[in-house]
Amino acid sequence: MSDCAIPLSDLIDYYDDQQGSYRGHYPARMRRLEAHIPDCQRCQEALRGLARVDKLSRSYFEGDSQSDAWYDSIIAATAVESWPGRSVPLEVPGVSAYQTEGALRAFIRRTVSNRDVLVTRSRFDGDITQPHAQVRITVNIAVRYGATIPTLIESVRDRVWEVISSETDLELTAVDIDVRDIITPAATGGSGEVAQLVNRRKVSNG
Amino acid sequence: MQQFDLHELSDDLIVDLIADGDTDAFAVMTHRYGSQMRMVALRYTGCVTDADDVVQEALVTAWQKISSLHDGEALRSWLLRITARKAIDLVRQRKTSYQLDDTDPGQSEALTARSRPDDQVLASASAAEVERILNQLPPQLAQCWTLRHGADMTYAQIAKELGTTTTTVRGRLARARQLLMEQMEGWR
Repeated sequence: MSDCAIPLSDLIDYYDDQQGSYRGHYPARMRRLEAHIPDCQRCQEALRGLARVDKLSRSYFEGDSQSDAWYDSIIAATAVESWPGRSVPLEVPGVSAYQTEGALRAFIRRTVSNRDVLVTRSRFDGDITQPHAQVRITVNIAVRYGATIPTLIESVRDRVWEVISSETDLELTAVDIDVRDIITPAATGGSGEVAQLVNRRKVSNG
Repeated sequence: MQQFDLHELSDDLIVDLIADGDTDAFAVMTHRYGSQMRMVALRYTGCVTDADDVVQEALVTAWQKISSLHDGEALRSWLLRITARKAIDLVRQRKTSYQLDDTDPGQSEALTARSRPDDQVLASASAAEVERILNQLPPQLAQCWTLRHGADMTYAQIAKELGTTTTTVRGRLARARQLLMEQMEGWR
């Protein structure tokens, strides 16, 4: 062991500088430490200790998962509801009727999704609050790994077309399909690697 | 209805679904990040009831603003930042009402994250150790540490949220780190 007397506070500054969290503030001192540390076991051990403390802190905050009851109660407490969005008029003789954009989106998610396709989002471009308005729809989808994408895209487009013409009075001009992701069996949490290759393949049908 | 297990979807897709108004995807997001949001809220406010209020408010804000999140991969840090902001606001309000009515809110309740009867046994001695030391730190230091390591905020972000300078934040974090080093690593 060396008999180095560098205070821990200096090593903390050095550690911050190395981590990029507080960089470039003490250039002269950093240069001195940079020259000193490779030969000093005590300083090296201190830096390892600092890294351990950070790591433990992070895992402390990641914490255990909470009880199911906690998740249920917090979700219930937020009382979130799908927002209605715009009102889409429906032609019913003698009656003023409409459905909400939110209901339409939910309907598309539910009815167009199947074993191989998941509709994640749809966007209506056009003034859908007007009767018989022209509308162009963009549908974001994720597809199951292994499925034939061009065939799926065709079927999604047909299905959207079907839904819009049967459920609304809107005049559909085009369906754009945005393949956002490929869902692999092992995919959890972050985005799958395969997905990166084909992410956001955009297909348009005019 | 769902042919896919939402729990297996990437954050990117979950964000897309929530922006489309899917409440099931919202529940999945809550299961994914609620625990860490709660730890940050609890550590910052020091009070179980306040922490749950903070998480609840943060989730409602997330639900309302999710369309503004363009990079689904940033979901975790976005949620933690919202949580931190709500916790900071709540503690500020508490200080004001404390001065007004001269009661001491929060302090009577358990300050530890894992003290509720329905909580599991400690995950590890190390986590318990971190908690024990954080409990002993002056609140300002523990709060900065929470924002840095719990909410993954940068020095500049912490300074902005707390209305102080990065130098002050750096000072508090350095002091907290020094105390953690002394207690956990026996470093003098």
